[in-house]
Amino acid sequence: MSRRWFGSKARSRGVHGGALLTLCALGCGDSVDPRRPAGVLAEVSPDITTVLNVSWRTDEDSIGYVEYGATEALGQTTPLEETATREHRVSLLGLNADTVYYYRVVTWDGDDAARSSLASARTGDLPIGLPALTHSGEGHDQFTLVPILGATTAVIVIDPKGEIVWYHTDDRELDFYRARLSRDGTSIIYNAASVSGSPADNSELVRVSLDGSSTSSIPVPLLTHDFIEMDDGTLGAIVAEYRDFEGQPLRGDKIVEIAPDGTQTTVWSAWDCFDPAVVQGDTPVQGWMFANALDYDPGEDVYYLGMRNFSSIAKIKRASGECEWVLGLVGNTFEFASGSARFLHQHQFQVRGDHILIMDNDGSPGRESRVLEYQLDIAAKVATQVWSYVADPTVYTFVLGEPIRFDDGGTFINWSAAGQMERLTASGEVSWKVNTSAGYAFGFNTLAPSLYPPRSARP
Amino acid sequence: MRSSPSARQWPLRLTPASRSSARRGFWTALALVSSASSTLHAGGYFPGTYGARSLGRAGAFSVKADDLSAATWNPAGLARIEGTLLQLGNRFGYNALSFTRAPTLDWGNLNGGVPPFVEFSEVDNQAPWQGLGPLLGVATSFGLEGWMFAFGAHAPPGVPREQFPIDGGQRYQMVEREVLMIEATASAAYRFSDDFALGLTLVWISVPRLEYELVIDANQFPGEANPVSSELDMRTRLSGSDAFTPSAVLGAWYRPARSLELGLALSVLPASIDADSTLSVVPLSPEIEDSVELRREGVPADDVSLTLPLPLTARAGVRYRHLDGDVERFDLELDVAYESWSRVRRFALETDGLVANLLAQRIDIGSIAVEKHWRDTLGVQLGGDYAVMPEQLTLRGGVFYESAVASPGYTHVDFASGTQLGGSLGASLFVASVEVVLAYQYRHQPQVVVSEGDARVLQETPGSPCREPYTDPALCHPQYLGLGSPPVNGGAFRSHSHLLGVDVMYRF
Amino acid sequence: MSVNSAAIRWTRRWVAVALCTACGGDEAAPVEGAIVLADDQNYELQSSLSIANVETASGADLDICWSDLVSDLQCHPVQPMPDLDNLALLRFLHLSHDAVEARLTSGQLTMSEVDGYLEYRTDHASTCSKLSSMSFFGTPIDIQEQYRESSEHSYMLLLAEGTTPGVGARGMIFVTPTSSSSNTRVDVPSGCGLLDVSADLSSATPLNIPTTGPWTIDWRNLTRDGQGNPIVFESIDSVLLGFYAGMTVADLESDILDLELNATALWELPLTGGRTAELGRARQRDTDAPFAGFSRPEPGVWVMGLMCSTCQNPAPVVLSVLQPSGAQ
Repeated sequence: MSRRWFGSKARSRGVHGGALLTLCALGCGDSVDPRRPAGVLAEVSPDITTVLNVSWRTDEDSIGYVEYGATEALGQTTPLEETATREHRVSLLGLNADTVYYYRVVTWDGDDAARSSLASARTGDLPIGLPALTHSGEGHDQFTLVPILGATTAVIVIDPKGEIVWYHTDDRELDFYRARLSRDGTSIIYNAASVSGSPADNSELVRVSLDGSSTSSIPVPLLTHDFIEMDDGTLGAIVAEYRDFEGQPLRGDKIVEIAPDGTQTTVWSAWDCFDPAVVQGDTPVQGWMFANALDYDPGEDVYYLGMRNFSSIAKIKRASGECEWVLGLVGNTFEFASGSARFLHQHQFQVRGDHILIMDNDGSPGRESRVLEYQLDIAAKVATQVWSYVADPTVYTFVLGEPIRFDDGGTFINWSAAGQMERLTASGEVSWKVNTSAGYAFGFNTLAPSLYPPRSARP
Repeated sequence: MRSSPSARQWPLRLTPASRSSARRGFWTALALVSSASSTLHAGGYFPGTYGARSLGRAGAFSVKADDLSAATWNPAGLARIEGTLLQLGNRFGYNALSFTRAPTLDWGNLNGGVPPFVEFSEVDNQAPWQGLGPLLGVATSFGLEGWMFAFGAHAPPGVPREQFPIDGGQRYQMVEREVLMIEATASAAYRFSDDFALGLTLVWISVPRLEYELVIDANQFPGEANPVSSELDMRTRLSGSDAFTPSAVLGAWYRPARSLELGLALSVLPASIDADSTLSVVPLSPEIEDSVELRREGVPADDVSLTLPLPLTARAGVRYRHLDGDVERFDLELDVAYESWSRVRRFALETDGLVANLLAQRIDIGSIAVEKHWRDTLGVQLGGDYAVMPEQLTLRGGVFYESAVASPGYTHVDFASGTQLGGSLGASLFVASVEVVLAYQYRHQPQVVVSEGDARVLQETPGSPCREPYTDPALCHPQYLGLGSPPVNGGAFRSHSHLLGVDVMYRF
Repeated sequence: MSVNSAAIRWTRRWVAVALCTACGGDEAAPVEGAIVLADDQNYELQSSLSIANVETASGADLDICWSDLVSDLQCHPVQPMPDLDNLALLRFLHLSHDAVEARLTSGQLTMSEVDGYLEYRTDHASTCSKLSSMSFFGTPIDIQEQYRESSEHSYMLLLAEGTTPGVGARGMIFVTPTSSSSNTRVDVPSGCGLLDVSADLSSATPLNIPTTGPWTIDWRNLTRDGQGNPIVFESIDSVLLGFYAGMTVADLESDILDLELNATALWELPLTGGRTAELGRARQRDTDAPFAGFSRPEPGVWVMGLMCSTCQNPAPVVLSVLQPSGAQ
C-alpha cells in the first residue's frame, strides 16, 4: 500500500516552513516537543486481565507501536500500526499475570520519529479456576493456544515459559476442543460443542478478539471435535450427521464449510466414501466412524479426516468429496510394511509431504499412548513406520492428543487427556514440558510464534 | 625618529628616515598557510576575520583598514599607510562543532517487522585546535607620492579542519573535511587627497589540499532505505587540489568630514574553486572483503572534479573618529557586509562516467551532489579602538552578527552555517616602531534544531534504482517517496570558536 | 472412548495444587497502604495420609460397601446411607500407594498421573454397590480391561458427599487387583485416622493490624503455602477471619481442621481472584453483618486464613495470627 500521503505531506513543507526550528540561546534546555505522543496510558483490559491496552494521542496523523517488556530494557514490540490516525489504541498481548510491564510509545508521522517517556503498568491476576501448570525446559519458543477441559472449561494461551498469558471462558455449558488463531491474527476461534453422548444442538464456532473486547459466534449445530480455517476465512468443521440405517438413526459425520458470509455448505459426508452395511466402527455406542480430527491442505485442496472408531485417516478431495486414500484399519487402502506398528483410536495427526505423524491413543500394548510416524508411498500404497515416540514416564491419553513436527526435525506433542505437552528435539530428547494439575486436560492446540498478526513494516 | 603621536595610530605615518630604513628591511616570502578562506568573505566557508586588529574590532575594519589586512577588507585603506609596514601575525583557534542527529526509525533494519527507534549520541569535531593561521606581508610606496603597494599572503578565516567519528550520527553528511587554502595578494592604492582613496587587490587563491569524506549507502535493492546503517555503507573520500583561482577586490575610502569616514569594498570577480581530485571508495563492513574498483569505460580510473563556488561580496562601513585636537582618542565603526552565498547551490562532484564494481555488482556513480542551497548573507560588525595611552596602549573591542548562510533544512556539519554572533577584545602595545597586537574573539552559533521532516540533506545512494521524481513505490521506499533517500541532517547543530590573534607590525 | 469434560473433572477439587503458575522472579510491589503478608507470618502444616489397602481379584466385579464409614477424615460423624452421594474409583499411573498419599497431601498430583476415573451415584437406599455399576460418566466400562493387575497402576476407592468429582471426600481405601486373590469384597473403613495433621501456628510471627480500618491485606509477596509448597495464588478463593474467645494459639493448633467450627465469630469474604482483600468487606457467616473491627469484650485469638475450597487438604493455604494494635 503506497504511503503517498506521507510523501506528499513531507514534500509540501517548504524549506522555511519548519515550525520546529528553534534558536536557542546559550545553554538552552529541553522544550516540549509537540511530536511526542501525548496522553499515553496503559489500562488492564476489563475482559482479560493479562491484556494491557495502551492508548495515546498525536497532534498529527501518525502510525506507531509500543515497546514493552518486564524490565526497563523492554525488548518486545507490538506491530506497527497500519493506519495513520491521531487517536491510538494498541493491546499488549502475551503478558504474565500480576506483573509490572514497562512500556513506551514510538510514533512516526511520515517525517519525524518521536517516543514517549518510559512508563509502567501492572497486569491483573488470573481468575480463580484456571489450572496450575508445571513447566520444565527451555526448548519451546512459541505460544500454545489450547482449550482446557475438566474442572474449568476455557481457552488459554500458554507462553514458552509455561505460564498462562491469555484466557477466555464462557457460560455456554459446552466444552471447547480446538482453539485456533484466526487467519488475520486478531482473534481466537474455538468450537463450543459436546462430543460425548449426544452432540449439542446449540454448538457454535466462537471468535474472541485477542484483546477480549469482542466476541461473536456462528451457530453450527452438532459440532464435534475439530475445525479448520482457510486463507479466505472459510471455516470447515466436523459435524455429526444422522441418517437412517436399518430403521435406526445412525450417527455419522460430515464436513460443513461456513463461508465468510455465513453460508453453511456440506462438502462431504461419511456416506460419500463409506457404507455402513459394509464397514462398521468398533464402538457403535458412540457412533459409526466418530470423526475426531480435521486438517486441510490448501495446496492440494484436500481435507484429511481422522475417524476414531474406524482407526483410520482419510484424504478427501474437497471439490469432489472423493476419498483419495484411507490409512489405518477400516477402509484402509494401504499396505503396512512389515514391522510397522498399527494405530488404534487415533486422534490428531499431521501430514508433511509423504510423511504422517499420528497420535495413537490406544494402539500401544499396555495403557500408554504414543506417536507414530509413517512414510507413505502413495503410488505403491505402502505405509512404512519410520518413527515412534512414547513419553517417559509413559502417559495415556484416552482422547484427543496432537503431534506437530517442525522444519528443524523437532516435535511438539500434546498428550491432551493426560494434561501434558512436550517439545522434543530432532533427536527425540525432551527439551520442554508442561503439565496440568489433576482435573484438567488439554484440547487440540495451535502453536503461534506471536500473538500479533504478521504485518509488513511498509504499509 | 618616532612618528608623531597623532600620526602613530590612524594612519601610521612614517618619517622619511624610517621609510628609508624600511626599504632595507626584510621582505617576507610567500608562506604556506593553513586555513580556508577567501577575500572579503565572512560567512559560508570563511566565517570571521583575519588580522589581529580587525579581529579585535570584530571585523569592523573596512573603513579604518590601515594595516596589511586592508588588502582584502578595503584596499583603499592601504593608501593611508605611510612609510613601509612589515606585518607578521598568526591566528590560533579552537573550533568546537557538535551535532546530535534527530531520532529516527530504522526502516532498513526491521526487528520483527518493526523499525526500531534509534537515538544518536552527540558527536563533536575531533580536530578543534587550529595552530596556524598566519599572515605576513609588506606595504610600501616605493617612494611614489600618494601610492601604496602591498604584497602579502594569509590564511583566510574559518575552520580549516573537521573530523567526526566514522560511526557517528553525522556520517552520512560528512566524516572529515580538511581544506588548506592560501591567499596571496598584490595590492595597489592611490590617495587622491586627504579625503579620498581607491585601491585594488588581485588575489591568487590556491588550495593545495582539499579532503572531504562521507559515508554513502551503496545499496542497490529497490524499495530499500537504510537511514541508520547499511551493510553496504561505503567510506567515500575525495582528495584534491586547485592551484589557482583568481579573485579581486576593489576598495574606496572617503572622509566627508574630519570625524567621519566611509568605506566600500567589492569583490566582483565570479569565481569557483575547481579541484581536480581523486575518489576512493572503501566498504565499511569488515564482512566485505572485496575492494571497490573504480573504472571508466572499462579502464581503472579514480579522477573526479569538485566545484566549490565562491560568492561575490560588498562591504560598506562608516567610522566616527573622536578627535582630541589632532589625536584620535577613539573611534567607532559600523560595517555591513553582503555576500552572495546563494551561488553555492551544491557541492558538485562530477565523475564523468565513473563506475564502481563491488561483489560483481556495478554501480554507476554519476554525479554526487551535496546539496547546499545556501543563501546570501548579511553581516554587521560594530567595533572601535580607544587610545588609553596614545602611542603606548590602545584597547579595542567589537561585536558582530552574521545571518545564517544555510536555511535550516540544509544545515550541515561541514560548515557552521547558522547565525553567527560574537564579540571581540583586543589591544595594541607600542614599543618604539613596533606594534604588538593581541586580540581575542568568541564566535557563537546558537543551536539550530532541524526536524527530520524539515531536513533536506539526503543520504547519498548512488546505486539506488529510485530515481527522480522518486515517486515509484516499486523502486522507492514508501517512507521516502518524493525524496528518494532518507534525510540525514535532522538534529541539533551547535558550534563556537575561540580565536586568538597575534600580530607584530614594524613601521619605518 | 468419548471425550467428556466431566470425565476430566477429577481430583482438581480435592487435590491441593502444588506448583505456582505465576510466581515471578522479582518481588512484587504491594498495594500502597496495604498490610503485607510475609512468609514468616504463615503457619506450617505437616499432614500425611495412611490409607488402608485391600487386595481383590483382578478383572472381577467387586462388592463395595461403606457401612463402616461412620466418621470422616476430620473425625466428624457420618451417616453412611444418607450422607454419602458418590462412590469413585481412581487409577493412578506410575505411582505407588505411598506416592499417591504423598501427592494427595502435598497437592502435587498432575493430570498425567491420573489415567482413569469411574463413579457411581449412590441411591441412599443401601450402603453397597458393585464395581460394574460404576461408569465413566455414564459410559459403562469393561471391568476386565479397566480393573486388572498392573505394576504401573494404583487404584483408590473414594466416597464423597456431593457429586462434584473430587469434592467432599469422606473416606478412601486403596484396592489392588491381584491375580492370586479371589476376594471380591471391599469394605471402606472410617475416615477418622487416615489424615494426620500437625500445625505450627505459634512460631509464625503475628501480623500487626490496626484496630480500625481499612484493612487491605496483600499477600502477593508470599512464596509458600502452609505445607511449604510454592503458593498457587489462583487456588485461593476466600478469606476467613475468625475470633476465638478464650482460646490460645496452641488450642487452635491442636484442632486446626476445625477452625470454622470452633470460632466464636467467623467472617468470610469470597474472592474471584487477585492477591489482596479488604477485610471490611467480609461478612459474618451467621448474621451476614459486615466486619466492623477487632474490638471484642473478651480476650481471645484472631486469625485470618486464605482458603481453597477446591483443594483436597481442608487446611488453610495460609493461616496467620492477627495482632490488633492501636497504630494505623
